[in-house]
Amino acid sequence: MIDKVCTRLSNKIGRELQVSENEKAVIHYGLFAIIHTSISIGAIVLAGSLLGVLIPALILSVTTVILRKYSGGAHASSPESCAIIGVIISVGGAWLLSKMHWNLIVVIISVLVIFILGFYKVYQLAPVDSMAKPIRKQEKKEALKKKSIFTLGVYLVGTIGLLSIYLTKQKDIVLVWVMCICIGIFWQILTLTPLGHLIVEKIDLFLIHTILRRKGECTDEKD
Amino acid sequence: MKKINAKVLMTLAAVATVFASLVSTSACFGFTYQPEEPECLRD
Repeated sequence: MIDKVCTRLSNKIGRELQVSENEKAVIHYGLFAIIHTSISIGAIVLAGSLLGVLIPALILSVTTVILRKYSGGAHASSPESCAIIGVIISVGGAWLLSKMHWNLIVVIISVLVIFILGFYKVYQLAPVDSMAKPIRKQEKKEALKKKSIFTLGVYLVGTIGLLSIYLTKQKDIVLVWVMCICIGIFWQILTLTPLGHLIVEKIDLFLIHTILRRKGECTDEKD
Repeated sequence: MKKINAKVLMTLAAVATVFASLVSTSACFGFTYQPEEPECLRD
């Protein structure tokens, strides 16, 4: 559906402004990025507000999205599957984390494990490209790896900041926010691995055959 | 009306082009769906 809207709009822009086919393809791609990002964020905001976990859901989602921009990873076969996976992981994860009772020791151990694993996996695997957006140049791969490691470094500083706030204010919600950052990083590094690709593929297939009800699509995509 | 329409489309085209070039410098869209990137943006 998003693709149809973008095609119509980019065709209209192409006709009115008399742009080349290449420029039209770039406009179509940009429009798709704007609409898809807005819908995905809107779905997370809506579901997060309904379940009363808007801030934790946004923290988890932003953590994943920024790291994902530089490190890449597994992809769903349609924007609709992607939006649903985003809501399940961000809002579902934030909801579960906010229902648990966290103590400082468990959170600190989680932070240490996740960040050590995160730095190691990002150094080892990032960036993971896709057929739809291959990364060919070695310099770009190295730049993206550096940006991914820098992003993780920023997350580490933010996490230490949040833990300091917890130590002074003793508010339990801060520990939930820290765990949201950890789970966001964990989910993103999982999608860099073959196991993560398999999990996203299985969820994607399940969504296509149940909620989205487009039985031919998964086989068409693979063909 | 036609002039306003053209201006709106021009703004939309400019914003979309900026967004496309921003996305092209990263590894992917950021969410779990990645549409086919135009050949002219690939490197």
